[in-house]
Amino acid sequence: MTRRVLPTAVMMGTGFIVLLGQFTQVDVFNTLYLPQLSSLFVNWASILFAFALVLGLLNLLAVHINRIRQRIEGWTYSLVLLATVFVVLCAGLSGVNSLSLNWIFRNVQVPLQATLLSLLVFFIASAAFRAYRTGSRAVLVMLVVAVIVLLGQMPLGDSLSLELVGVSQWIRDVPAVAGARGILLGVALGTIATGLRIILGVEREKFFH
Amino acid sequence: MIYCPTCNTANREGSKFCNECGTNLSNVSLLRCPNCGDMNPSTRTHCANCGTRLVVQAEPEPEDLPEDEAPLTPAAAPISTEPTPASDEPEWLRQLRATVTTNQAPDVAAPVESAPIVTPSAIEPARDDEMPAWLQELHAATAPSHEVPPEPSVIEPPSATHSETSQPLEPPNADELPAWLSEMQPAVARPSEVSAAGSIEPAHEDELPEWLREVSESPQPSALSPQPTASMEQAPDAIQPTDEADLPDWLKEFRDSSTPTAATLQSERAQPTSELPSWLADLQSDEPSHAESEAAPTGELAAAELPDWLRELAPTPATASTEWSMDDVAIEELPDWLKPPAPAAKAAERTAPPVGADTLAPGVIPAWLQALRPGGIATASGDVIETSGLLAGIRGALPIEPSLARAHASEKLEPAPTTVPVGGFAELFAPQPPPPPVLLNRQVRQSTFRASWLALFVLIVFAAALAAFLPIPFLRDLRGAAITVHQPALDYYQTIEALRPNQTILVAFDYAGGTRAELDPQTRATLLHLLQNKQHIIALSFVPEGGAIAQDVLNGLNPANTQFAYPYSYGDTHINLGYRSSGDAALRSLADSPLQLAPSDFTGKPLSSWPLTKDWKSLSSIAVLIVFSDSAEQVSRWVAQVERPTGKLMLAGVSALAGPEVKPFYDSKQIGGLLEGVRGAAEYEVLVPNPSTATATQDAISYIVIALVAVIVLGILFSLLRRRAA
Repeated sequence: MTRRVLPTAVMMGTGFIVLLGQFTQVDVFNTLYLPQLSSLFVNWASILFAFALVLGLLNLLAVHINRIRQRIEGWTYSLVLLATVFVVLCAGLSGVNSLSLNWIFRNVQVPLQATLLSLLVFFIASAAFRAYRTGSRAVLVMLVVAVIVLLGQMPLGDSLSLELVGVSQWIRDVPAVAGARGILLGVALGTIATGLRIILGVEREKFFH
Repeated sequence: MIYCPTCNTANREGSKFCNECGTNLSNVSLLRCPNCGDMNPSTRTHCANCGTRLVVQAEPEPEDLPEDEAPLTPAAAPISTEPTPASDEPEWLRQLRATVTTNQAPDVAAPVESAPIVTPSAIEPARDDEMPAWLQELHAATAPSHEVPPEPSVIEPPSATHSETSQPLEPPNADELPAWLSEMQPAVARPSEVSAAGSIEPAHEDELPEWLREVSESPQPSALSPQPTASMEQAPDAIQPTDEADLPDWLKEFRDSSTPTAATLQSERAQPTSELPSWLADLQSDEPSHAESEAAPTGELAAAELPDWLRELAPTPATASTEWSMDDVAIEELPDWLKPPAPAAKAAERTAPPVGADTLAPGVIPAWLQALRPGGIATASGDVIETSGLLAGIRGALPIEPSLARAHASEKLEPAPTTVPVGGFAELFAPQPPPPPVLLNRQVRQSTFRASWLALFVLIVFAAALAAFLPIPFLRDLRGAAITVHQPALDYYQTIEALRPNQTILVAFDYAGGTRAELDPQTRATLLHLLQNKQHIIALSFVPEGGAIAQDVLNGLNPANTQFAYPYSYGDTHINLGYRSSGDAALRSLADSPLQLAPSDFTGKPLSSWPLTKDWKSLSSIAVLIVFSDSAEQVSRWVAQVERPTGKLMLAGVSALAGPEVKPFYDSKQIGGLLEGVRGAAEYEVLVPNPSTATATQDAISYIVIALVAVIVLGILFSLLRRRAA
């Protein structure tokens, strides 16, 4: 009983306090110091987040050390990962803004990220052609829209046709934003529903089992 | 009610199966009438057909019985080893007794002349293979053998019919008996010991209960214990103590008055009944003398006085032996299969009908086995409907017989093809090369398809790159004079241009290395413009890589690396706070108290040590917030946590991917100006004017976009043509 009821009660109480603490205009909540408690819990969340990060790092190290010890296929990559973690940890001991850490960011991570993003162009082109091979008319519409937006976004688009640029801008401002906002609204509603289920203790099985 | 013999559940009268466990109740719940043979429920005491009292019945109440049929109390039935009355028995034992009695009832109630004797030995003993070794040896030792000449018996049977068969059983050796049986053996008075000692051994007296000891001391022969007179007369000699001083006074008096000699025994028989117990006096007054009791069969004497449950077990007058010795007592305690054949049984075996007649107890199939007996009816469709048993009413039960009776055709096993050239035993186990994989035509086509498309990509990209570095004059002429500047970039530029000199601008580098090609031109052009206007810059980042990127951009704006002249000194004109933990809480903390969020710069020095941030307490001294990010969500956080609470003017430079999502903030005037991707940077460079990287890459970007569109369109056309050709 203690294993299930106590965590659920703590979770529900904390959730209600943080939620009600956002209503700073309500005097009753201010009298109960709910905004201060909410801020305190948010700070605790940062600490817990950091602890979870360390825990995840330890788990990652344990998994890859086990892979190296058992010589599982691809264990050399695990070795590279462990070496990288060790080097970055040593470089970051003097602070997150240390010169050595910034050197790693500048000369390793940034070029790698730029390369991966550059490859996205080829992936998009290949995916567009493969999507057309399915024979769906929706795919054809998608490809036509993509071509229009690409031509309208390129610097030569204005020189080619102002109407094409206008259509491209309309597509980006209206349908694309509408779709993106629809997705965001759906995510927000899902977040509210999930938050309420957690606060009300409906989702306790998922978290405590 | 019918009680289930398996689970003891009470079922309604007439139930065929138990409501709880499904046990078949038709065989175990009925009693056969000994007179007419009709089956009656076990709960009835009299036959419904002829009114005969059924054999197995509950013990009648004492008040219901006549005086001479009153049940014997334990004190009144001293040597009785018969089972307790039915009322004291558990239910399962009563049912079991009822079953056994039902099978034996006709034999018991039948006349002696027509019915054979049913004795424990008449029941067929267990087979030899079912008995353990030691028991088989014991059984062989105790089995009656007609070839063995009869030994002289000390106890002569009173009946002449027993003269040939009443041979004393040869007791097995003590070594051959199990421990528990060896312990029981001394308690049984063997004929040889009786003959040797002439009496019951006094050691047995200690093991007898008090009531039994009294009876054994008394010379009164009981109907249930018809001890031979000779033995009883000599018995007191054996129990006489050696030292009279050890005897208590009451025993001395008793000894004086009842000296166990033959003379005193005779005199005791003539004793007045007043000295005897009442129950014994009653029995003595009714029974004949000892000599008469020897001549009269015991069954005739006890038939009227015994209760029903004892009467049915009493031997018949003509055939049963009237002898009742300690051997009989011990034999009664033994299970049926261990009991040695009685002499009367052996005599009955000679005259018994052959196997299969009524003398043998019919085989009883257990109820649980009876319930499992299949009884299906095959329908026209081939299904089988079970009519009885646990599966009653179920259609399509697995027919057992056809499945078992079907001959299983064995599949012929072809010999394994020998692909190995047999040149020797070693070659048989030599590793063989794997068979060549069978490639499908589709797989072949896919492999060629990938290679061709990869080559096409490489050629197009190479051509586009070559065209970017080698601008084509007619395209430049076609493009026009300058890059078209859109309104968001123009608002962005005008906002910065409107700032007064020596104001502090907070610039956030919230983008990672992947979008650095897009956003670095924006930040470089913006910071250069700010420095040229003598603004102060405070840079920070909420992305881990952002601190290093900011430092790189600031270092690249050194006037030594540019063609412009402006004041440039770290700590005076600009400062980098580096990376700070992200999230809404961090942004809110920046809005409330910047020093709490970033007390030092990226080098670790406190902000108070730098002239630019020496008096920096809050965002009130910040003129404009400029956020460079590749995430629309991060821009949204800045708007929600910083711009809204502080009311500061905010500008944003985002990647082309995040542009459509950030644009609504510009449309709603929450963002004063907006730069989108490299194109936005180029527009800003055109406005500054400071043609730089963004402007220079516009041709290359245009060519690459054209190449991508061409690849997609050509791919679609190629696919259409191929599909039509197919």
